[in-house]
Amino acid sequence: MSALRFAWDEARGVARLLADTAQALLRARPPAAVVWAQAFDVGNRSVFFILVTLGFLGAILNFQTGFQAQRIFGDTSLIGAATLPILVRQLGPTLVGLMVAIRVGTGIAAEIGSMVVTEQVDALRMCGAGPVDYLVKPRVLAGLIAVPALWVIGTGAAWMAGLWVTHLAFQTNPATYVNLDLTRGADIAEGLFKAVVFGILIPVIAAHSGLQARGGSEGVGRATTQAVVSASLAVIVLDLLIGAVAFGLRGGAGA
Amino acid sequence: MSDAVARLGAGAIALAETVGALAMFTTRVARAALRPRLDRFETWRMLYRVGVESLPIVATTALFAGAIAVVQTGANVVKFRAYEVVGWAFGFSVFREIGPLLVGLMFSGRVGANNTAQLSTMQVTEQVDALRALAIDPIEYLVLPRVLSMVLMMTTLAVIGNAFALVGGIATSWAMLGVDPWVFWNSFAEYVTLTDFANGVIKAAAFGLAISLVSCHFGLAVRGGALGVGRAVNSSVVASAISIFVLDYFITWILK
Amino acid sequence: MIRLDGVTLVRDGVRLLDDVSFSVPTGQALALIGAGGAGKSLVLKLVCGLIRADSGRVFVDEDEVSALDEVRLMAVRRRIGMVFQNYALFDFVDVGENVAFPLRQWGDLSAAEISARVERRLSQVNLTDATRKLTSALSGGMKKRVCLARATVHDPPIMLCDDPTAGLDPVTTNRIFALLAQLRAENTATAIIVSHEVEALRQACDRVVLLERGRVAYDGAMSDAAQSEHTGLRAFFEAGVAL
Repeated sequence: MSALRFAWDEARGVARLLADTAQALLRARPPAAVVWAQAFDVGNRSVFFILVTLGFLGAILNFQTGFQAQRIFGDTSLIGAATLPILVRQLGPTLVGLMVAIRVGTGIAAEIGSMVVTEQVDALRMCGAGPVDYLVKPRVLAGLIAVPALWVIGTGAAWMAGLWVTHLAFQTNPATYVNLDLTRGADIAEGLFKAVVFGILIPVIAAHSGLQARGGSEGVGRATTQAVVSASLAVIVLDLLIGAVAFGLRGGAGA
Repeated sequence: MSDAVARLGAGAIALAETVGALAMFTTRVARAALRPRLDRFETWRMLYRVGVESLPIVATTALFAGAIAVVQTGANVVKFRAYEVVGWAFGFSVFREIGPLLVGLMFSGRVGANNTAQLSTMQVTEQVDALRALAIDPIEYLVLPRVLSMVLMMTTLAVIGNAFALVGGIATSWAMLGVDPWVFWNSFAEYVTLTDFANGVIKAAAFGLAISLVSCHFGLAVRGGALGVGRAVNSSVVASAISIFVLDYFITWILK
Repeated sequence: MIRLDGVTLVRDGVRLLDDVSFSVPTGQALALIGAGGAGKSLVLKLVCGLIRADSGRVFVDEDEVSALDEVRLMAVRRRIGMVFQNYALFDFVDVGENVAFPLRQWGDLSAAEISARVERRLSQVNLTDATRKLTSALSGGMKKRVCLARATVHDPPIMLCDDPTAGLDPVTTNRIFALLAQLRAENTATAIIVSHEVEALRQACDRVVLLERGRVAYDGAMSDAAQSEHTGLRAFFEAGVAL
């Protein structure tokens, strides 16, 4: 029960910070240079990590699917066509989201958390720079820019790794693997929408954990841990919700 | 240009250093494990803590993983009117792949991150030095119980997680696709083999080992104060995620 | 003028501040003393609105800080210079930018004016050579001086100093207090100084308030305090002199 209570408090706190950030954004936009620097930082810090993890994911997915198809249909020519839509609309955005939560979320929480426990946030407030305006706003905009870009990169990496692994394991012709027939505009829209939502939410959740840090290095550690857990859970929960809504929008007929 | 090359080189060196340090750490832990003198109290405490910490989150994640698998195959199921095989498709992908992967990542975020935070705090506040000054080997006293608890708990949680995933899958396909729970269960029980199940559990155990070693290493290797602790946690979860994916790939390859 | 009126602060069921009332007239300096955990830092944070009391009112001049929202508080905080107990220096910019930070945020001075002011302050605290250094490379005494420079770069009419000489050697301590006096004199600033340096406080301050476990145990003029029969106050002064 205490876990539920905690989740509820956490969700309320994040919602409040999200509203504050939106309000602050309407009041004044942060300087473009600051946002770009942050976005570059988010992207730069994650791109290698996402290439590696999503690359392996693509290899695993195509290997499993191919193995299954071989056993049941004796035909592996449709692997590429079948795995691409799943990658684009689900595994791509979700795993990119989880990786960003891990890589960037912990970074934001650690940075802001240590600023809180060393009273730098109080000093900021004394200088007329509120933490939402000065710290949260640019990071949220940066996430909004960087995560969709990382979604493209990550999905591409997974797809390329799949091409390689199907060629090695099942001797699939790369030309056969490159098959976009089963991928629809709706899949791309679903994937992009998820990436945008995760891009906004992960920085907010991480900043929220960081701002709640209390007491020395232990507090920073706690805030960092909480950021990964909350952001990852949010990604998984929203993946389900958005997926279910998209399924409903398509009329459930898969058309 | 030369700047980019220099940065790439520096990155490669840093990566090699991390991998090397991790390998050395693993060797030290393995050597300590050969003549195990486990602190029984600390081991029980860790088992309890790891279990309590991770059970709610693993259960939630598994529940959602099961539901997501159904939502994502839903379109094809409806299209091909393949209601009889939902249980099978679900079981295969969740038990073998999505389940252990997501559970592993969440376990790393909850238990691994927390472990790094705790050990690195002990390190920066000189508690680890105090242990050594008292002639207590930190590897034996701190690391071994943690490794053992995480491997055991990850294995157990994979089994429990599968049950929760099944609940999530059945509920979602009933609510969303109108598949009768019994139809789901029958196709699941008929097609999903013990191999699929074992496959996932073996992966989970391997992930547990990787997460425990990585999180202990980064915890004890921390530098600097409060910000150092945050950075250690960051590196720890990143390295854990990479090892989870790499291990997943090779285990999938070996076990087929 | 700074005035606290029946301020009570409760956290986790503990009364950290209990019905605290005192005032500092404009231009005067108050020594806020007491044992660790008595609530001195909390009082300073209440005055600049960084935390809020559960009951009671806090005034800075004619503004009721305890009733203002974050946006209006900004206007009050511009008149305050705060020296934080643990420095609270920004680790993402160098020393010069730390001092320039409030001026850049407010944006009513040109870049040239800002750098002129920063230069002047840094030379006053004898840190011209450290302008481009990162704060992590500084010693404790240097950090305190940066903090002092940042807190006073906008010539605030009100200064709040939270243990400005904690953990410093006696020579540096004297230097910091001399600086404090000089900076305060420039703006005839109203000040609250939290410190354990009894001798320095006696010279720097007009009034003294002793906090004991969140309550005001003594409140009076500094000139009377030395002769006071109050046990807590005497213990504090005698221990300080004995040092």
